[in-house]
Amino acid sequence: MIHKLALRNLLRNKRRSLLTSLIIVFAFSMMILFMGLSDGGHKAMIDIGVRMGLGHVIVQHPEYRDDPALSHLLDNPEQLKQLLIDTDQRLTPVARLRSDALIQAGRHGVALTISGVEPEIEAQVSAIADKKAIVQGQTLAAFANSADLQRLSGIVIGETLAKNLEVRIGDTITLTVKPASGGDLARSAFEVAGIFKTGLHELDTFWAEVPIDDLQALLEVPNQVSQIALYTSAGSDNVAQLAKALTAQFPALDILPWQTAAPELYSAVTLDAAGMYLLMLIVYVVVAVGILNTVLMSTFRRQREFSMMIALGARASTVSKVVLLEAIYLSAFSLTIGLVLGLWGHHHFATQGLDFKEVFGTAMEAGGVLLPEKFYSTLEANKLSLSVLFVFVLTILVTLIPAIRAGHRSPVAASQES
Amino acid sequence: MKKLFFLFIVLLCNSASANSKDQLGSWIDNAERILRSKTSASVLSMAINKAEYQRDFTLLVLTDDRTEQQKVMVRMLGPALWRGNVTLKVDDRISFFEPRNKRTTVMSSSMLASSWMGSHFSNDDLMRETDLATHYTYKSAKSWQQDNRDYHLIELTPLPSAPVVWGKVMYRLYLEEGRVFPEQVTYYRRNNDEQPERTLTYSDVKLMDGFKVPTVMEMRISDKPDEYTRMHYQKIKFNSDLAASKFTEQAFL
Repeated sequence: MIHKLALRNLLRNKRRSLLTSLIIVFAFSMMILFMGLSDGGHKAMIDIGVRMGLGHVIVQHPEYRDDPALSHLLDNPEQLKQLLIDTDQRLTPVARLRSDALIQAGRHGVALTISGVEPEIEAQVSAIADKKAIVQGQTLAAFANSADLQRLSGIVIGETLAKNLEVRIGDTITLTVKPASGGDLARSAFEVAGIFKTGLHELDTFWAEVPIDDLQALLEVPNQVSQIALYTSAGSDNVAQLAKALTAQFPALDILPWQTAAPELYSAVTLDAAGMYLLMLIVYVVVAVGILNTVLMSTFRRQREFSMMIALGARASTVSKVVLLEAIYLSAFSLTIGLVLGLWGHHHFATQGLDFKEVFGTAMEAGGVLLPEKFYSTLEANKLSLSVLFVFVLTILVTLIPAIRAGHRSPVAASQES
Repeated sequence: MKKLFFLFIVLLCNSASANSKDQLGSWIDNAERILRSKTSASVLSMAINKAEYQRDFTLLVLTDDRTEQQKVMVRMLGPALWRGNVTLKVDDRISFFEPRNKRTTVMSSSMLASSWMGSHFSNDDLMRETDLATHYTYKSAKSWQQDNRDYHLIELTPLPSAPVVWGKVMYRLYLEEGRVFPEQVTYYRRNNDEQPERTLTYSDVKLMDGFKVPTVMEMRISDKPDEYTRMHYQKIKFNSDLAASKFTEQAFL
């Protein structure tokens, strides 16, 4: 009986119901869309950041973080890598050796951080060593394979660095480092094998990669590495647990998830996400006020109707229930449509992707990470259901007071009004 | 017999070419050392002309090559603002001393690229003094006679894995009275480059302490034709017995 009444009431004033429902549909579908795109953007940021010389988890000497000196290296990387794989089959470990160095060509010299990498494995996981990033020449792995024995070892440098040094593919450059023995500076010559472009100023200007064996020899640290970066096929989601589990296994090592290893990336992502939540909250509050407004107006306008109901013997609670049910039906109906519309939009961006360059004209950088030109919308089911619930509860909450008040007006006073 | 003769010729040629290679190397070595001898003590002025600034320094330079360790000490005598600044080089270790805060800095790899006292020489050039003698192969590009001197243009190509920054160096020197004089050194970025990146010229040969030596050294960068660093030797004393203690960090004060 009251359900029928509520539905009839809704249909009686179609324009009012439609307008209220439109607010909810529009706000909710847009929120789904934004939520998906922003989460997708964050995921893309993390994936790219992790692939730019970082890793899902970084394993290093316990003192390396505070003092990245050559005395704080990991011994026996191969053995450690095997142990790590044994604990989790999904891991791909890559050893890296880093050191301050001077790179020179002609009369130009640039001080930078040189990274010794395992070319074959690095090419699979890193976006710097990746074939797509190489704009000229070839990757270290390809160079090492094609090299005849007479040739120098290869080096891959950033595009801006190559410009600053005025070098091109095939040129010889020298690296000067302070070796572990602490004595005189050590030098070695390398041939420019490839020039990469990541779009990140930091990397394109101050990054160079050489085969790890050559750097170990130059630094006089045979069989030692600065860090082992772990990439997991499980993705970037449960990295913190993974790091915790590994720390329990290897208590003597410093094992950091990317959130700790690259705090600037993490804070950029969290800040952006926090901004998104705040925006959502504001929009929902506006929606709630809109609903409150329409419900208030409709109960005011229908005082005579309610008083008639009460005069005919309806209980106060029945009137309240009818008003409340109207709101519930309205919001359930609008939420369903909003959800369908939102998911449809999400589906579009999840499959086609949003082309950032097309929309904004330029690529975007955030937290030292270049956002990919195209990124895909992702939605988490629990987040989605939470927001459905939130809007639903909010609607009921704001309707509650007008509904109760509608049932508790004296019919005489109400009928004399207006 | 004919075969043997041929073999003999081949051997002769080989040894001759080997000889001439050694010869070229030793010429370059001698030319590089002409202002140093076994030991040297010199006073020179260094004029730096850059687009951003002009500077004039007076320097006292002591060198000691009597032992395996090559030692160089450069002390600034003027202008007053810079007086007492010292650069000490013992083999590959370079340290700087700044008298006002009494600080000694040992050079690290990151400082190599910066220029030495604002000149067109980098700290790295100081370290690479012996490069020409150790990291290159020599080839005579041209020889000619002029003003009763034997002129030679020698092409230096880096050894395959040599950690050097130049693709080719052309060294012009001449022999006079049994001594080797450098005249011009041009540095090329790549082996097949037409234009050199920088040029070092020796000129103004004068008698100093009984030896004829070039007294002006000028470095020019091809990109910036108006800029130069010129070192003008005013006084040199060769082969005096310099105490080893002069080449230690204790001697900075």
